[in-house]
Amino acid sequence: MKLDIPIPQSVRIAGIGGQGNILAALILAEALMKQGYWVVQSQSFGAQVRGGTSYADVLYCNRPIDYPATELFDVLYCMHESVLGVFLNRLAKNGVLLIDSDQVKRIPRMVNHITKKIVSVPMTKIAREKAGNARYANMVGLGVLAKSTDVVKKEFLLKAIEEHVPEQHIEANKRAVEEGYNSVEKTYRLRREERYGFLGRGFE
Amino acid sequence: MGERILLQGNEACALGAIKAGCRFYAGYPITPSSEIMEVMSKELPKIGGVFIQMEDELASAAAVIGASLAGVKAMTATSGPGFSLMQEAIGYACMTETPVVFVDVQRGGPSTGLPTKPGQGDIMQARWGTHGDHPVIALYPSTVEEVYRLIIKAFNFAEEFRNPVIFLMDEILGHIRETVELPPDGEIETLSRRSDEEYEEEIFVPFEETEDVSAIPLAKMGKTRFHVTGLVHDESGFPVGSPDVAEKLLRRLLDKIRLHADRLILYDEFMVEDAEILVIAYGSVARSAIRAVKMARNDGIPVGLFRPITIWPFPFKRLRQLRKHINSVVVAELNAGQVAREVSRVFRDRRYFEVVSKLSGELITPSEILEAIGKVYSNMTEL
Repeated sequence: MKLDIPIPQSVRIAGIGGQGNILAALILAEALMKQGYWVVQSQSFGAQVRGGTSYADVLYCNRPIDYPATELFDVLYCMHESVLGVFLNRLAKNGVLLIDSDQVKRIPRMVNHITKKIVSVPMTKIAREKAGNARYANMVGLGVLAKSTDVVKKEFLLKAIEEHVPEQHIEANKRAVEEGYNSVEKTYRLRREERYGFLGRGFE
Repeated sequence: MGERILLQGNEACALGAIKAGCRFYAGYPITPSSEIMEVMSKELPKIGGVFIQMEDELASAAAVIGASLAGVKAMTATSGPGFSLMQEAIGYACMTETPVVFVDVQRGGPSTGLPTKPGQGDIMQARWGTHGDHPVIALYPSTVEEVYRLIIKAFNFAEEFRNPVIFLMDEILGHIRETVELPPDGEIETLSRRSDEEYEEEIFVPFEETEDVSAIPLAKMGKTRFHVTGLVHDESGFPVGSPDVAEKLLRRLLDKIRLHADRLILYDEFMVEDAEILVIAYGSVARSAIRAVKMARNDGIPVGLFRPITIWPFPFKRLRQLRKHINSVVVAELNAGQVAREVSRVFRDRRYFEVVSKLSGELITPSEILEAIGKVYSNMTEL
């Protein structure tokens, strides 16, 4: 009898300290839990409040998750140019790459070897112009994630925001999610079948 | 089935402590344990508890001992550097037999080390951090849900054995958020303090030796009187210099834990019944280990996982039982081999003994453990 090994779906939100990637991951994790998944959310950050590489991961699965980390991510949401090169090799083959095009000007050419599913949206600009402050760019990103992938449903994101954001910012954050959601058209489906790689990465 | 919520390890620790009846918290913030303090500062005043931010960890540790002697369940939380500063007070709590819970969310060390990265380097500090031969209870959960359940146990052990309990966690466990099913209230057992009504005498004799060498429940100071000191003392709590009293007291303190170790020792096992290779891991590393063991089992390797939950006293007895069918051991830990050395005291004569040790501040991955299992297995099956 083969033992069941739960292989969760995974999202990494990477940026620099202060961009709100941990809050975004927290809200995504809460939303996914409301959707009925088992969720693990972890993070890595430096000692400084602003700057320095910082990322937060969300893993979700229909069963309890044993190992709380993963080698490759199905979605990489990149908030800042300085971290794109660092984490690109952690994106799964044909995974979805979300990019804030205001913060990331140059995309390394090697991305073509990994995926063609690149969603590039001027998130900071949308946040500044439509939600009132560039700070809400992380929520615009979650809106983009909700529309461009089948990871999370928008209404659960909005509910999660109500629980985790200070009251005076709830409206603006929700608006940012809506604007992000409306800024993209295409939806990519993630693989639902469990990957179990005996063949290495890039094998075709 | 309880309610499902998303909870951080540190939050679970604080909420569990409150559930266990903790009503006093004194601490000094330090990454990665600060969220425990944050939750305590918010929640304790709501239920009539007391929260104090002290000037440093020395004072924090002393304050929780004082609060506990005054009749309130008390806790403090810190990380490696602060835990070093608390050692003196931990010895005092052992000597005065004061029930307190010290939480140590371990980060990479030594010194200020890696503030935001995990480590498991405080295993031996938890045992021998304070000077002198002293009794120690240390627990180490590995999931957020277990943090919640185990911190309640930690308070119960502290009360029952009248000893400080060291509650070990690590940065991963402290900062991770995951889906948790909280146990319903009916499932939770908490030991309450002896109330004033139950103890009527004017003077309490706190250090009497009972027949089965268990601790007598602590009475509340105020209504009754008793003396405590870090010096060697007799039953009444006043210092005595006699060698007989010293020998008797110190033996009793150690026996209090040694003779009741069976009740204290908690562990978790996965597929060890027919295993020939035993993987030993604890804390968040155990989660990598269980994945590795499942993968190896699916490849037909006879391997099992032993996860000590009570780190001190160390589960030697169970490991000795496992010697019958285990012929190789793999120990995985985020230090240079602190538990591996304890394990080697039982398995030193086994043919293959691998230690997966990592000091980089990253979690050991299942593939690293799998590699060690594979190495041992190929050695074992070699003709």
